[in-house]
Amino acid sequence: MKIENEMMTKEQENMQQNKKAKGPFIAIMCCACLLGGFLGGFGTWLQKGYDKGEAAAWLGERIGTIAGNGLPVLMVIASAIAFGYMAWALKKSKEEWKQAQNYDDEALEIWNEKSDKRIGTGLNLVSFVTIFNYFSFSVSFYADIYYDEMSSAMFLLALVMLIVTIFASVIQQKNAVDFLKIVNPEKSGSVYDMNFQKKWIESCDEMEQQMIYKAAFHAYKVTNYLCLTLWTGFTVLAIVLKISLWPVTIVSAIWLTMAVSYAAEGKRLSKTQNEAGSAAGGNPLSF
Amino acid sequence: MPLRNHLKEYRVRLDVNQQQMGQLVGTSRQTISQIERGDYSPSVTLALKIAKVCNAKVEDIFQYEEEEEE
Repeated sequence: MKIENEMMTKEQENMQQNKKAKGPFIAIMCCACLLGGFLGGFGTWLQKGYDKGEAAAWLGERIGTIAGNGLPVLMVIASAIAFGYMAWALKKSKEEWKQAQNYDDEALEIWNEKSDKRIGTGLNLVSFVTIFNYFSFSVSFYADIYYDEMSSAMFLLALVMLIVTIFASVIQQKNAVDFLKIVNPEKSGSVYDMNFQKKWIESCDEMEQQMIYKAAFHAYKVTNYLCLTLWTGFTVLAIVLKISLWPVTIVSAIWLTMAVSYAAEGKRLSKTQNEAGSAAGGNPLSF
Repeated sequence: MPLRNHLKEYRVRLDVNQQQMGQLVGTSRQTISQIERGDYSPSVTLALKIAKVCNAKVEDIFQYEEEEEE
């Protein structure tokens, strides 16, 4: 009897929660349908106006030429800012660390927060600029081969910047990791090691691991929504501008890889950690 | 945070700083600092390790307090 009452209470609770969430859910779905309908209709309307392939090629060449010539310059500027900041952040933190040896716990905590923030910002900047430079190189390479107005000198600049980025990002990450290992003697791993990430996370304690996992889950959730958005956009663009089905295929492949690896890891963890299995169950995007 | 603790008092009694305490229990200095501030609730394993190093019972160092519902 007691179990039945508990079940009824739980069912009522579930109903209330579902009722509360149902309104915004229906509203979001209606908006998504309206947006999808609008994009579809807009696409069909655009199709009638001009030759799809021609429009895509014209637009692609204009954007590609401007981007191909401009991005190498931006690569230089972005790299100077990111690598310059990172070098300064490390130098400053190292200097302060030497002075901090005589600090008490509270002063050390203040130094640590400042230093973590500085180095974290530097590492993030280096990561963003590395991705940006990889992308910029691809654009310049493509433009150099297919567009007449693309300057070969700018392509060479992009190539040089790509090589600089590869080496500079690895060296700066190595310097940052080496410094963090001095400040936190329990940390281990070398950036040059192929298993660096595994070794580093193993040397992190439970609180640090929890932070990493939370940040990773957040990135997973954001990427899931991004995939949904890109899938919508590329499907419409494939029809309207005839950009081929490659973009939507790549997005779907990334999306599927994420979902499969998430499910597989969740299943693996559920065998060893019951709570991890239940926590990992379910795609954040599944309705 | 319903978990209150007296870690700082026990650590001072041991005459060690946060870095040394971290080394004794196998965590970083930052984790000891976060626990002392009440910003992080350690796992049972870590709480037991801390209690062992402090030569005390877990419940002497950590106390769970029910949060008052508004």
